[in-house]
Amino acid sequence: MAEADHFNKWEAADDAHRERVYADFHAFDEAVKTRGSIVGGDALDRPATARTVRPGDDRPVTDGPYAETVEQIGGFYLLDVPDLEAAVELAALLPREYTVEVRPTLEVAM
Amino acid sequence: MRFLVLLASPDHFDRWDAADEEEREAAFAAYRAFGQAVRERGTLLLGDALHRPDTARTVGPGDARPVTDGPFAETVEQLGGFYLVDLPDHATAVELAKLLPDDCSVEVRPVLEVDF
Repeated sequence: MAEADHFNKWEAADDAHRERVYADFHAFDEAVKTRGSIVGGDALDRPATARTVRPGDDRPVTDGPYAETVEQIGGFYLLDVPDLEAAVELAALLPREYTVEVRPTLEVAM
Repeated sequence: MRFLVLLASPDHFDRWDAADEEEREAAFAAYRAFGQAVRERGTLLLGDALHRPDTARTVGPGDARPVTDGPFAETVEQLGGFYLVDLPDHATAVELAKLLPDDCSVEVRPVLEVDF
């Protein structure tokens, strides 16, 4: 989930706006559970809080995310649902101001 | 504290397809070393490798929620995988992230630990 100026917008949001966003998340969670499961997910802190370990032998550490993008990633879910179409359909339930990328994983055992 | 760890590198998927046995073994060894080190200091909550960016679908903002092919942002470094880890602090998470394959940029970002 990503949105331009995501974190500033959230901090400026009034109660009514926040309640609607929470309701959207709740509707998404409920809908996913009828089609499969939420394996995990969370909301992220601001991009400025990120540290990035760069390639190379000495692994230099820089402040901020690995890529500056117009839309800031604000959160993520890992879902287990029947197929990509179902995942895309469910993603449309998330708050309508967010851009939501849905990508299959390799299902690597950890 | 929980952290999202994102792995990205230029040409990530093509380079993996072109990698020989030895290079793949070195990468697997780095992933194993990271997983083991996280488990010694905390918990590895989640993680997975992603498919190529062109397998992504992106649901755009707005009431109509238009769906496009591909990721939400085209970046030089392709996102190839992620972990969610629980570790004592950010410095530890950054230290352990250095165990991951050294051709990747590894972003380590705190999460809000939202219950859902």
